[in-house]
Amino acid sequence: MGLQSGCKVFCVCFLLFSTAKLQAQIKVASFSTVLSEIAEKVGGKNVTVTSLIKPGQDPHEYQLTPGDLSAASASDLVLLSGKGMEATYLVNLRDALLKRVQVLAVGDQIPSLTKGADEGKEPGKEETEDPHWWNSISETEKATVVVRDAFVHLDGQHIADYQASATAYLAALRELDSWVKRKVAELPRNQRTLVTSHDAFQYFAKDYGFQIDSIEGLTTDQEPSVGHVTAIIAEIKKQGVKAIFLENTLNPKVSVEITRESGARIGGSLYADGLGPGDGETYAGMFQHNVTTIVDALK
Amino acid sequence: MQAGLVVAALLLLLIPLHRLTQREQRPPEPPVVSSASKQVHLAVRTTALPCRFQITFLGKTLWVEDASTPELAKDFDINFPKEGIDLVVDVTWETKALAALEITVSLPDGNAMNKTLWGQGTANEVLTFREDE
Repeated sequence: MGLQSGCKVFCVCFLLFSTAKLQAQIKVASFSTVLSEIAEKVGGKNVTVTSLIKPGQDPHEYQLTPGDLSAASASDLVLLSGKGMEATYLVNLRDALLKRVQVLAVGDQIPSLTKGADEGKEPGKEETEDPHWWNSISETEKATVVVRDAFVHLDGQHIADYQASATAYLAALRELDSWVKRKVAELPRNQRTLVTSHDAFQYFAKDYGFQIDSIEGLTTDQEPSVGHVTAIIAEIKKQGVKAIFLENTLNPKVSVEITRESGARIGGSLYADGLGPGDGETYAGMFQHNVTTIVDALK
Repeated sequence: MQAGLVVAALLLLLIPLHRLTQREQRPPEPPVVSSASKQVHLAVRTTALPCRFQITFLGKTLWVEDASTPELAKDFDINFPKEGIDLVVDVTWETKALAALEITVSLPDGNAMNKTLWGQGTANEVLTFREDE
């Protein structure tokens, strides 16, 4: 092989390597259905997202599998909901991941609502962070900014792409928030009592003026006590609450029993823990479904 | 004769037994929701004319107006609970310069609350009026 041929081979190899480098995508493993959508919308063609929690899956009950651990290890960035949602497997996950994999608990970057022992539902327990930040559009906007900044940090070559995509997604979220405010305004403010299966709607309640009465606690593995159920039935009767709501990932047995005793009806099923099959396949669809179900049932 | 007495005793026992086992049929307690229909005075003031606005309350149009004067007022009988009310306000001005629409809600007890929308050409917002704000 002459010098000329050697140069040609070198140039071809260099071009192939450069092209591959230019087309390299950030590999993201997401432990949240909502964060998967945000990563896909903000990352566009520069990011590949593997959703380890599937739509409709209860994230409170999720168990880390060897397959999911492999997928997380093969990624550049692992997105977590944060605020304690991954508490049962977070230590194992962090220990098992290679040092080059960045772990970002998005919820930990945004302000929390808490639930304390003083509220009478979790006696003897310390204040607990509410992990369900995605049920507030303004918190989801903050999460979008956190994800955008992570992509910018990891891939300086596509900063303009990430900024443009994030701006478009944030505009869509603001439009969704305007729609929600108008829909909620159809419901008198003194009829905004939301009785749900587990306590997942505090952020939503704070944004849109609702009072929350949940049958279970902040997680789905807390069985309600007889005293708590009796108190909820009394509150439903006292407030004249017309409907209570089920959740797409939970057993409706206790809720159905409460409707029998209180006279309230089942107002429908809500997406409490992220995206799910049906209307809730997208964040906007999930939110519109929840708001329409709540407002129409409580009117 | 003895059998008749036993049957009679059993029949008598049925009455208290039925009362004890019957599900309690109390009339439902009236809900304690704070609601009271009040005559609410709405005053609208715009910084630019002409101006068209629509005020929606609980999903129904309450007041729609093509304003030719900067100040307008009307009375409405509406339910004003202690939790307050939401008014959906849509306004259009002919001018594209920054303009404002101020809405004042006055209750019969003299308590007044006001909110202002700002916009260039249009403004749309849900305004909450509460006595304790």
